[in-house]
Amino acid sequence: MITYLLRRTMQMIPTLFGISLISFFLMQLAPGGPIDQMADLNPHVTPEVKARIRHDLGLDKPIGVQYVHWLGQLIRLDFGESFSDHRPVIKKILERLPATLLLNILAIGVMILFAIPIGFFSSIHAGSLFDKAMSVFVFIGFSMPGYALALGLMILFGLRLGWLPVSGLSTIYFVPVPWYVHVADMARHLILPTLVLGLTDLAGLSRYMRNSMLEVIHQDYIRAAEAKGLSWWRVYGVHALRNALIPLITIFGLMLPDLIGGGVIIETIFAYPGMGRLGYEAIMTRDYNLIMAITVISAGLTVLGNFLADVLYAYADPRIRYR
Amino acid sequence: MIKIYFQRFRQNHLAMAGLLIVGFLTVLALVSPWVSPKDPSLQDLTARLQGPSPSHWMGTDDLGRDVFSRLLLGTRISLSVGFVAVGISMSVGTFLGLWAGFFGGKWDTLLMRLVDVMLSIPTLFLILAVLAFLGPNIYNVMAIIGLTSWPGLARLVRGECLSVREREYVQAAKMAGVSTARLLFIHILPNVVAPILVSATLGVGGAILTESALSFLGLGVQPPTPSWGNILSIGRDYLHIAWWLSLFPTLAILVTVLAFNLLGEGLRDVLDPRT
Amino acid sequence: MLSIEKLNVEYYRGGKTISAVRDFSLAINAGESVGLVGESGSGKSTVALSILRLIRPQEGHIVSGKIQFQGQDLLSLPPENMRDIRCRKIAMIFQDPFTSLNPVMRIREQMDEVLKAHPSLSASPSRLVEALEQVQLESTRVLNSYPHQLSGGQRQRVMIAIALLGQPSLILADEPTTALDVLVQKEILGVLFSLQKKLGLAMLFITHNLGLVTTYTHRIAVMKEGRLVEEGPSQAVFRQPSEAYTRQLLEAIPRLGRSTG
Repeated sequence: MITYLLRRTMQMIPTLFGISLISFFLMQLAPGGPIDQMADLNPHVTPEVKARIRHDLGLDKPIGVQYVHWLGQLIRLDFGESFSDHRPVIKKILERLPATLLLNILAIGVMILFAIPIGFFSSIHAGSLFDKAMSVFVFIGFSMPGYALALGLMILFGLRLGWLPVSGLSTIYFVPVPWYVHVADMARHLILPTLVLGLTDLAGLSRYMRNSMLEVIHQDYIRAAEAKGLSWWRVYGVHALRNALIPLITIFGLMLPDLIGGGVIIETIFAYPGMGRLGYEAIMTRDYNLIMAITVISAGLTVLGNFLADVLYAYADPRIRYR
Repeated sequence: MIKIYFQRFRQNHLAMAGLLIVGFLTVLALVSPWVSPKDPSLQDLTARLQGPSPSHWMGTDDLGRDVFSRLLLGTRISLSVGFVAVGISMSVGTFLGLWAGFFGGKWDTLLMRLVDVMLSIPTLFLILAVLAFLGPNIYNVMAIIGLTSWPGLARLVRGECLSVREREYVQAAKMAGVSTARLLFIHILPNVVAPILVSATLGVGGAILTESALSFLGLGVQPPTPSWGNILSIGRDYLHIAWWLSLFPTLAILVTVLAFNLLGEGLRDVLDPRT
Repeated sequence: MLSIEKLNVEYYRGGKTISAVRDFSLAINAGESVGLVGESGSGKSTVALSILRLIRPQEGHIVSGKIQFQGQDLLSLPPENMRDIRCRKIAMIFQDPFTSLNPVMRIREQMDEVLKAHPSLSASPSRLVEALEQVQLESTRVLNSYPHQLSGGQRQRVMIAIALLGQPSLILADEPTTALDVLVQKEILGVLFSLQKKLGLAMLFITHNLGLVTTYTHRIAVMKEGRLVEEGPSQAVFRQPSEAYTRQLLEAIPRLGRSTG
């Protein structure tokens, strides 16, 4: 297992390097560079001023040097200042990151909570009405634009029924309230965004679960388990399920970028104070430094997430854990 | 051989349904300017935000334009973005995948690392950022969607290429001294075509979803050109009083993407050598 | 002790229904080892699976027949009773030791669950150690291992130990050595049959190798395309096969010094 993990770690490094390279490359693409973005709105900025800013920011040095400088910045997580309010970018991100992590983790929970049973029972009753109905659900899930679903749920639960709030993370109370009221309030706010984000890849995951179970069910050891006189639950819920869940870990790692990306739209629609919405605002205001920072950090989180998934996989599959 | 594929395909009812819908939509996209009942860009401020009626089958939007006609024209937008974007990603992905899979070695490692990196970067966010800087218009949208969706296909092609390369008949041909180009095109490519086709079909659905998301957020196809996504964004503003502005574009997207998905899955069932 | 009467089993394959076992009847007496021989597809494994009713509804079904075991017809028992019989009264050993053990569970858990599933058995750890000692395996190491850490021969011994845990009176051995190397085959068969003799178990030994059967069993039954073709005491069938098919099987056994046709 150690060798496996070492190998995965070694693979992570070039990927992270690649991220720094690609992001650097993208930075060069912005026509005119960041200077123009900053300066074009200000008619007082003369070409001399621009040249001086360029020199200050080190943008007139050879590209190799610029890249090394960028790399250094990345390692120190120094992304400069936000164009809109001149606060350090990293600070702005760290303010919003916990909310996004909370949302994503809850969404992952929702996904797993529904996808596993759906896939499990679909495979057991393969071909039945339930299975077919679930397949329909899966196909529609693949084809539905997530933000439209968000809108639909907003109308239904927020506006018509008035059950759930449709924006933000918390209500402002004008009198002090005990902590558990805050928690309950936050929970109410989280319900809709979590549901919509979780539904993103729910369909796909349940399908993978179903297929994984089907493969496992046909293995000899399942029949051998039945021959031991074990109960149905023991055979399918323990023997089959344990084996079927393992490949899902990898699939799950592959779905991480979708979650982090989907967060942008959903956080925006629900005015959720997370990193995704920060990213949207950054794009709308062409806040260059902030955009680069969010891109790199999201990519880094994805790589980290995949690595964790790999570790989990190595732990779960004894054929890898004990070579 | 191809006949068998046709037969099996015809037996798969869902796939046939998908094919029919896709065909119908393509035709619709082509003839929409001549077929639409009303002028999609005609504003009528006296008839703003009206619900579905005999004169406006799907109601009117905030500028009094006929939603149905706009939706119809939107078909053209969505399908063209879908096809072009997938065309781009297919070309780039197949080329790189074949190169890496066939020549292996450092080309392979290089490509795989590149794919890893590109798959880690949040795609939608990146696309939004690039469009914000380069300016949102339909051509940029097509290009950028195409240029961000090739990694998955490249990985697929490279995998298929690797496994085909090791098969005996390819080894035999290689030993017999067959030229590289011939090996690639006559032996390897036909086996790789099937998953590419499946991936491309499913990819069109994905591209359409992405385009609609971009337009919804205001960075895709710009008004007054109608895209299903930007009609939905108007719908968002008038959520509580004009449900038709949200429902009909959603249905349009849903049915279209569903059709491509059914078609793609059907193709997969038919072409998969395991069945 | 076990009597199969006119068993008929059908399988669903590729949209068609095929008859796998036709009008098959066989009796096995207590303490007796019976060899069931036939080529691939002759239906021999199906017979064993039918005894324990391990055929899945999507795969096929038992059309008709009776399987009498200790006074009960197994084919009409409710599922809970069937589960009691499995591994407790009748145990099965499968063909491929590389795929018959769950790869993600330790051996201890895979053995323990048999004891836990049958309340009439005591769930003490010493039972596991005894069972493994019977098949000449070192228990501490094996119990903590995962299947992939053991060799094929070791895995098959584990399967035999599992089969013996319930102290069954009948063992169904479905080609237990086909997937193993020749030398290991001999070892495993030695273990299996010495235990059979020592514990006085009845056994149905399924194989496609007529040579093996003759050495180890009391009686032989030959199957062809789902039907019973010949039956009788092993030595008798071997020396004087009455059916042409049996003769063909005999001749197919490779022997030194014989010219190949």
